[in-house]
Amino acid sequence: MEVRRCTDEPRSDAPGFDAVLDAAQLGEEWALAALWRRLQPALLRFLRGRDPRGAEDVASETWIRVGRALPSFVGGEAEFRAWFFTIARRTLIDTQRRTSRRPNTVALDAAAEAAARDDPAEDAVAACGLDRVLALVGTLPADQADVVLLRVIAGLDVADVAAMTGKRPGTVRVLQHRALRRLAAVLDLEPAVERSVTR
Amino acid sequence: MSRRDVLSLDMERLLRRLDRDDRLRIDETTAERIFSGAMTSDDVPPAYRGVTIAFERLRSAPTEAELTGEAAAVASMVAAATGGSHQVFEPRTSPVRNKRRIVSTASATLVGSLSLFTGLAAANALPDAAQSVASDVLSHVGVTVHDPNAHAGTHPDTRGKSTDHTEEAPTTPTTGTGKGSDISQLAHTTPSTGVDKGAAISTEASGGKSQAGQHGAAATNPATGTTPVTTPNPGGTGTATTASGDKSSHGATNADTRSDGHSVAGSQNASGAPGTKP
Repeated sequence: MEVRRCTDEPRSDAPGFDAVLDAAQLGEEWALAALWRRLQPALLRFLRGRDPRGAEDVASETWIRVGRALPSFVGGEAEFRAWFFTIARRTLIDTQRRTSRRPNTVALDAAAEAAARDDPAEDAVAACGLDRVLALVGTLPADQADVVLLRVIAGLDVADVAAMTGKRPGTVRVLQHRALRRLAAVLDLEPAVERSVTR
Repeated sequence: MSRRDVLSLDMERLLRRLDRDDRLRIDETTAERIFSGAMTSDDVPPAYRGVTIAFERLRSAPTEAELTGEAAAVASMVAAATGGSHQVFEPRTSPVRNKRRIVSTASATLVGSLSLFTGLAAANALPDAAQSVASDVLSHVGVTVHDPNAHAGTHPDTRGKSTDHTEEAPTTPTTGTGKGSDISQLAHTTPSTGVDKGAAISTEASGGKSQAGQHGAAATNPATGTTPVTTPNPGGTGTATTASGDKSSHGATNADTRSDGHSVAGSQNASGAPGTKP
């Protein structure tokens, strides 16, 4: 079975990223769909790592903003990825500000729907491990979690993360180093946690 | 537990911590390679094996659940890109919440306005009419502010209205009856022209004080009623004699005496008569 990563390139028979981006900027639905398939999983994981509540809603709002701003974007794939996650991060921050005064409520219908979802078993196992990893990252201080998620899930380099978060590259390196040690310490101290994450 | 046992436990904890810190020590290059995915869990230091596997999990292939809703998302993007409606993904806001927001905004605005009004009234910074109204209103709630009509005594404290004024406005144009009108009429009716016309108008306007049109005329001596010199002047000697009260003739005689008659000769030369050369 072929194993693909959420940030992997598409298959070789697919159009190149530049062609997809050009068509998407012209409003071609197939190109917008290709962009969505390529980035939606990473976007959801990033948002769930920062704030598990309402990640889907924030993702939807992010895509709307991307759709509005897409015609004015200039750059290649790396720039697009950084631009995309910048919008995602800002959308998340806006949403958190907007909802900070509201009580955290869960609709019963949505909960029942989620429980009844017919996921394949392997997805369930994978999601279980993924959820635990995201929860573990969520225990980090916000700036460290930001750096880990943007570097690992979004695939951005130190310079991009520094520009996005308004920090110096040296600061980002320090943050990622601290985050790494902290995660390692938790996993090293608590073998049960490590087993749940790595199983 | 004895003191030795406590110390032993503390020492053991400290050694464990030092050992853990030692195992967690990692250089920046290795850390960077873990973050960029360049190292597998088999290559990293043992303490970082779990972190590396966790990172691999974060980069794992998309699940089916993560790829649901593509059609709706694309439709929403197309709508957003073309400026259309995007009801599918627009975060829903409750109408009740909207009403609450409107009510709270209106309340805040009202409270702010009242505070501002009261503050300005207390500072006596409102226009008199508004200050008077504010004073009346606030006096009902026990707040005393300055009233501009407080010292009006028996004078009415209300302003008059234009409708109170019963005198009818003139319906026909009135002609002027002042001095300007007289002078204007003179300017239009006088038969004089040129300098004489100007002099007539000026004299009328100044009440007879103007001397316009009397170019070059010497002022009349108020004591004698005569001008000191008749113009045009027929000769310098006469003028000098008249003007000096006949004293200049003495000066001329003296000059003749002192100059042995030479000054007379000079005068005659000046007047064109054949001079007598001494």
